[in-house]
Amino acid sequence: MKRRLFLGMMIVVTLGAAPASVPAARLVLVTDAASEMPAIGSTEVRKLFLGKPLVKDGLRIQALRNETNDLLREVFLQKVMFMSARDYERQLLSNVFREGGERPAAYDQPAPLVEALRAKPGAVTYMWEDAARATPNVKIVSELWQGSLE
Amino acid sequence: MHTDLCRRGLTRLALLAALLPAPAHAEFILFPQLNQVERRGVAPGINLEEHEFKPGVDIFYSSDHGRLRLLGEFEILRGKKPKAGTVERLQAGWLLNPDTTVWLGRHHTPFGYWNTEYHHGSYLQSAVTRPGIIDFGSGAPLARHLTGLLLESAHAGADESGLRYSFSVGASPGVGSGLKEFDILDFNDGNHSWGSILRVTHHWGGAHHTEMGAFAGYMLLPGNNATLHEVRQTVLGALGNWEHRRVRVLGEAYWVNDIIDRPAGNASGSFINVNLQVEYKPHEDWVLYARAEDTFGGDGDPYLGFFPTFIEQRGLAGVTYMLTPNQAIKLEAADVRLQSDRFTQINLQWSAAFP
Repeated sequence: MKRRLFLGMMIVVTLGAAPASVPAARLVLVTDAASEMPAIGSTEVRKLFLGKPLVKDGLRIQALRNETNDLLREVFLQKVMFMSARDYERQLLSNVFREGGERPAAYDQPAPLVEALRAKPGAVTYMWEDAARATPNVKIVSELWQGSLE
Repeated sequence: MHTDLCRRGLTRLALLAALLPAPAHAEFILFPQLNQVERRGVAPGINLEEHEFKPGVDIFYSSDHGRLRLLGEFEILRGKKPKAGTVERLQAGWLLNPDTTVWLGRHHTPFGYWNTEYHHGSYLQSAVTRPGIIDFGSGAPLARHLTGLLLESAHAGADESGLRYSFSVGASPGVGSGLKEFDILDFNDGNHSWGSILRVTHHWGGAHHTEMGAFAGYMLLPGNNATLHEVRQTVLGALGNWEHRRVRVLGEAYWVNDIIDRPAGNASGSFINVNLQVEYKPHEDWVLYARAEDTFGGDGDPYLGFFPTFIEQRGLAGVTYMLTPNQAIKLEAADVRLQSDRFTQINLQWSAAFP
């Protein structure tokens, strides 16, 4: 019981936290450790997080939005999606209205996000690299961006 | 009257809701709107009111079940003709691959840019109104929906640019006073034949949404009254949307040819319609826009005679302010010319998307 509590606290602390006092940060795409996830390119990541369908090696990939930390979300939208939060939300809405489908589910708590990665085959999300390495049962699929946060 | 329309609308909505499954995660989005329209100088014979308050809501549903994709859209709008509540879209799609979907059902016709990019869900578009050629109600001479098959496909390269294709074939509207489109919940409502449209666009990848393309359509539009047997309509056109930083330009051009078969003898005509809208975003919360629409060769066109409230020419300017990330308020002023009237119009609209 204590071990599970400790694990849960570790996930909460590490998943959303920005890399403190580290000038260079790395944003990575992650999935469940047991997943047979193929490599996903940056173009495909953008399509995926805009709600477009993506199938790789027969696996339907599903995007999950990591809303556990404002800075993380901001960096993901600016550096990976190349748009503001408002433009992103509007674009998602517009795509779904035009083509159908579903907007990527958003998680504002770390534990449900990690649980969703585990429960949904083909699910991916984004994290800081150090958070990903510190989170049990999560593996890195690819690097999305690296640079200075200052 | 409105109570009856509302009751019929709600009955249709309940029937639609019963048809659509509710999986654990599905999109269910409400697009409410409040419109106040003020017109000055409308001629007495024209069927347009000087003051109109038009509240409405567009109810959108979408879900994925493996490769099966379901989509439903229902609109209730006060004053909408011929019915206040209509099933706008009801489609079942099959994802052949991630870039190709084949749909069956009532769908938006791939004419131009506006009809598929912006339809109902006013919150999504900067302007209050749509171009007259593809407007809602009885004034627009082109079909906004077909009921049948729609194939959508995209082929993009590594730089995310590429081609998009849309091919639509299905039951076309009938012509009477305006177009009467196929009602998916009332098969016996008017006459219908068939129509087909192909659209091809090239889009540039990345964060901007620049695209250009062309489309071609052929429609058989049966008459809904004794004075008309059928209209054979050919439509050719081009579209474009260009975005760079704070500026956006979008436009369409249509060439429409009609051969009218009627008991009194055949007639034919053709006209060109163009529209161009420019938008400027001085701030994330504000959009300033202006649009010009014009029709060439439409005077005395026998087909346009069935559309007395068709907007042949319009110049408008407006402003959109985002009250919150999902609510907008828009103010638009326009100089409008119909075939036999000219007036000014002010539109004030609140619109939103929830959630």
